[in-house]
Amino acid sequence: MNGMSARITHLLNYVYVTFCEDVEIECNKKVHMLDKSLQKRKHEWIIETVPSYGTLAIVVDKDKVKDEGEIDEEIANILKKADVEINEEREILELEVLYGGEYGPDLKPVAEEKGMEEDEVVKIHTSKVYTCYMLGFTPGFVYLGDVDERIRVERLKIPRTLVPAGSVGLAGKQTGFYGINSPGGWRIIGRLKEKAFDVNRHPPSLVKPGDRVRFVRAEQ
Amino acid sequence: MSELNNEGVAEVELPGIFSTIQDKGRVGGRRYGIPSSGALDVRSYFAANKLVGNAINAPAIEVIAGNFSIIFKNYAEIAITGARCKAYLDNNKVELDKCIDVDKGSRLLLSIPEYGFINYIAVRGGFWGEEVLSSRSTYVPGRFGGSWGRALMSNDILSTLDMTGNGYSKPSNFELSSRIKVKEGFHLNEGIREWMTRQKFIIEAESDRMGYRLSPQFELPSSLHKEIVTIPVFPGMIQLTKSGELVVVNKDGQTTGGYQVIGVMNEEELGNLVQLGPGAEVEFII
Repeated sequence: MNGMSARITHLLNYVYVTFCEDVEIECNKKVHMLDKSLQKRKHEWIIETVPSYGTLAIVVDKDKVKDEGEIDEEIANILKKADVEINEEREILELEVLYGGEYGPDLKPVAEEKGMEEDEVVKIHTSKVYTCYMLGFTPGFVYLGDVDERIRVERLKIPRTLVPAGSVGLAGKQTGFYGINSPGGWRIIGRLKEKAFDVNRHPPSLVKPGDRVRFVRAEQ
Repeated sequence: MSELNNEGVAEVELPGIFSTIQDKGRVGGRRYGIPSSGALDVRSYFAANKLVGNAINAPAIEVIAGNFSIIFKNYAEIAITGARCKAYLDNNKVELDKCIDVDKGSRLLLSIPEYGFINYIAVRGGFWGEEVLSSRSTYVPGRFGGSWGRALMSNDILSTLDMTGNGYSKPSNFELSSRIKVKEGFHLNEGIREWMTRQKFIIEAESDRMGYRLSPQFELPSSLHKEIVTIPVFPGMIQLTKSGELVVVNKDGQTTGGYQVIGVMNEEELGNLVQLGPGAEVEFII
């Protein structure tokens, strides 16, 4: 593969670089590659960048850049030599989870639905290294993928009005956790032992977009 | 608390339905799901700061829907901007868009707005607010920043900062328009444009600092609805839901969204829309 292609859209002072319109890990890695490359270059015209599944949004300070062409050119340059940087391995973050019981009220129903023991669900959940697709929804909400097909479940039909911060959930091919107390419909199977989100920390989230994460079962 | 330069300049008496400390908003948090927050109507907010000679990003009180009063415990220079309401200092009517000297012990009262929805009260030096990610804006859903991460309550003591700027200036007239100018969004097509521009929308009561909800007169033809994969969204972006209800991302709105983005308005236009407030009828010019 020689470089990669993307669609660039300018809207007011936002630039959207779209690689794909799916929830797909390989495509999502390109988003993080571009994000990382732009951050390394420390351009004065970049106010902030926001990664999502298939799109990177760049907030631009228009007073600090000549025109849209200059931005397009810079992005094209990065994408041209992209495949070198995409293989850069990130270290794996290990997060301890208290599974089941009061911390994971949906672990039992999920196990029943899948016809397995709770321990088996945990074993499958902790067996994979996940990639952080993005953060969003509420502060510190981390979207990870992809979940083993054997434990993929639908969201709750009626979302809970309050899911405690740190709750680890399942939704389709994604797993993830809540940064703050909020309403939510993911199936909660456990809770992080450590505080993963704190606005007074720099950066506020332990897990950043593109990071690799493995869950580890914590001693109760 | 060493950053405070006094023990409080004012005490909240009537807090109104949703009053908070806001500044220009925070930058750099969106990648972690943290919205920008900040003043909803930047034009009125900047104007308030300019009237008292503040730095442009000094925190001010944002009062939504009026009915707000505070008692000053020290001499202060203040300005009230934004929605047209009646303002009283003790029993005397005071003018909006003016720098006003307030004596110790005076009570400032803002009525429910007659035109517009949101007021800003600036004090010389700026009001103190909790600083998070380099901003003193309040973000209530996250319970952090500004006025202790919550709406102001009776008996809250407000303090001031030293964020003065260069000189004083007067704002332009406060005028609102029900014709909202928007730029084409990513998912706008001819069908949606036609549907959107042939009708008026009503701002729903469920509108708040997170999102402004607008209900259409005509249902959205199902052929115009499309599921999309979540993308980043920003304040001023217009999202089209399945039913045809529009959700305009506001300053406390989510950083990502899974609805078609059919338009976007700049900060001044967003300020105009939020000032129109619930119940107002608007039309879009794309």
